[in-house]
Amino acid sequence: MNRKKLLIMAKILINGGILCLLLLCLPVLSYWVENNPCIVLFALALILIGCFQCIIANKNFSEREPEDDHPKRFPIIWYFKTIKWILIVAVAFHIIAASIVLFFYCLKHEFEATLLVTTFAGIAIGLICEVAIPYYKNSKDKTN
Amino acid sequence: MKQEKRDDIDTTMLMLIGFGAGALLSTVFFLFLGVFIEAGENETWSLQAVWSGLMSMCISVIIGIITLLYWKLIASKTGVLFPRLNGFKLLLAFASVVPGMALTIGLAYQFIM
Repeated sequence: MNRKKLLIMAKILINGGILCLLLLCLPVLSYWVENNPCIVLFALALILIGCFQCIIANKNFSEREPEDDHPKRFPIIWYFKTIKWILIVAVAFHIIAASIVLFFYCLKHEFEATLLVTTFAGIAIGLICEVAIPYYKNSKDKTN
Repeated sequence: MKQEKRDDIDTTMLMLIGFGAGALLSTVFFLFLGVFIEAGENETWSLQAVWSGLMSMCISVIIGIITLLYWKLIASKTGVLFPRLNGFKLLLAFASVVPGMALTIGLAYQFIM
């Protein structure tokens, strides 16, 4: 066996091995938690396909160089953006839910209602002024 | 022929993203629905559901980081382009959503709920 073939074999073993370990962790965790062999079988079938793909891709290591039009920037960035926006929307959703709950609380306890509403309204107006006035000034400067 | 070779490693990336998306889906269920469904008699919000949602989000971030490392260390060196969401491989991505959801929901119910 010549040196080139040995190198290809080593690459397949290293990269395929890393991928196998990574992907095997997921169904093992699933089985540990769920105790449902169907999920494991399902995940194992996916892993087999993934490893097969990895081995084929490994063969291309030696065959060709990376092309010029290969993207340099990592393109999964939208995945992390989705996570960020889900978090923001969830926080906004719960703030709205909290205000609705507060409204009903005020209806139920009429005596405290005036105090609560005026306090929260004062805080809200203060915050809006704090953020909105500098933002408005900045936007006005930019247009000028 | 050249175009076919580029698609070689797409499946693995799509599977990992699908797994993470499953975790993300359970995050959405926990944070938007579970919070009110799991609430007890005298409480409006279920704090346990919030923790479960945040845990699912952390798992999806971890899977995202694994995918990122996999892309940077292995996949990008083969010269393949980023996965295109079409054909049979998209089906595999959707299929790997199921184990992702099972893992996160199972973990939440075993340790937090």
